[in-house]
Amino acid sequence: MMNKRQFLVALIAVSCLLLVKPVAAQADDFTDGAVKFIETLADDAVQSLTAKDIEKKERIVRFRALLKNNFAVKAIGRWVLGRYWRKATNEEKEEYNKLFEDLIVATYVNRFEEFSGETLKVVKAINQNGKDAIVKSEIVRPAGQPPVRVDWRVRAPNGTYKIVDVLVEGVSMSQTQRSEFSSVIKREGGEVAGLLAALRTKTEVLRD
Amino acid sequence: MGALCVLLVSVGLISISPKSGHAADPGIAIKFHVVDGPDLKQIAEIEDLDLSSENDPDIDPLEGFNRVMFGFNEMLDVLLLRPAAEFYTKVLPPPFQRGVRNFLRNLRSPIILANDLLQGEMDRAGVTVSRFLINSTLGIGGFSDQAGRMGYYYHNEDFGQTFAVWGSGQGPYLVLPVLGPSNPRDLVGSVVEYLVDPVNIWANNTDRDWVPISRTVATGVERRAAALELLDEAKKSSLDYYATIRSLYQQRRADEIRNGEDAENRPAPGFSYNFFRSGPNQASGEQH
Repeated sequence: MMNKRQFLVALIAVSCLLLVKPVAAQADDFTDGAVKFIETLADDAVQSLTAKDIEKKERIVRFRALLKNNFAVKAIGRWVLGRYWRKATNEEKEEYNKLFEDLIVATYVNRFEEFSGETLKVVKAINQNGKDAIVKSEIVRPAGQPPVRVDWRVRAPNGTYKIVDVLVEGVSMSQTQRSEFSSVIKREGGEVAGLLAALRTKTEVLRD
Repeated sequence: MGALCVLLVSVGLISISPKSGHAADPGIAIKFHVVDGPDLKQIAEIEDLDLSSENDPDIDPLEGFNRVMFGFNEMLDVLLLRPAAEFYTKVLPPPFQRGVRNFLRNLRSPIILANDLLQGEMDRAGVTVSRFLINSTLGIGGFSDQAGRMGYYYHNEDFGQTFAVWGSGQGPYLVLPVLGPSNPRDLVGSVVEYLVDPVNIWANNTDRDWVPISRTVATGVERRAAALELLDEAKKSSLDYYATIRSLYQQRRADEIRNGEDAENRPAPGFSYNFFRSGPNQASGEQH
């Protein structure tokens, strides 16, 4: 028979095990969650955005909601602006956040119209330092053609998953945008205002 | 005692779940945030933007020259190459377009194989040999990609990639007239390729100048046609087309050199700064 003390030790041991086990499995929970997140997002996107009969305005509204819910848009925008973020005034930052979101919407919203039943297959997920999860997926193509590689860099602040970058065949959307913006700012004499002006015209042109 | 165990287990779980950070059931967490939407302002708060560690991939010492060449190539593209590519896609039915692409790719097999071997990529060399044998026979002289249907997918290799694997740097970004985006390493690679290509050697030795010329033209038109949508889209949505192409070229080359594998310590886009500084739940963002 156990005495009281042994019982207590056993209890502590058991609770320690309980505490330790999920911590050890944590990394897997994180990446598993990231995989589910991407799969859910892909389903949601197909369901809400690809119908041919929705009006453009409605598609824009839906895409914007999906974007805001699943991407760390402001964080991406900030990273894309790079060292110029600090130079920007508060008003410029605010307008930039808005225009950056508009640019993404304007650039990508039409692509869902052309959707023709491609499927996204998650291959695996990699845990990077416990902070980022890279969800590697493939877009399946017709027989004979290799699939297109799409990698999603995902973070989960406060347990809520957010995409911080998308890489298509090794090309990072954030990096490309960053190179482009910094080039525009350099051309405009290092002024963020120059980029904002360019963004204003660009988002208008793309809208009609 | 049984009840005590249950109690302990549940207490244990409750105390654990906040520490496991990424929510015990992510499915529920996702559903929840889709409905409610997170507080993005809070998430995006950054206080310690550390840009000193930033590596700048946009170093472009020859930018002045490059932009002139880029403009020249753009003019050629608008006047000549793009219309040719468009004509090609409109006149030739898609199966024939695929045939042309397959044939041109099959013709490059010796170069791809040589570079697979020079890089020590024996598996990929095997794929290249299999593809060449299958497609040259079953695929009717390379026009049909039967090997691809069997899972032996096409991959590209060239001497520029081999030099990179051997440790050569790329040098400054360089836009070549007609040929487009490149760098000294890839330019040398292209020259070597032209000189050692068996088809070119055979054509030169038998005075068939039209062979390399028509092959080059066909390759140019075919590749331009394949990129029609991508480039139209990039041109339409970018604020600086030159910078976009520069970035796309450099990233694609880096990916090709890695054969699509992950770089262990790939810095860009690092997101190395803490984007998600938040208050009480800080621990949940930090997983170790």
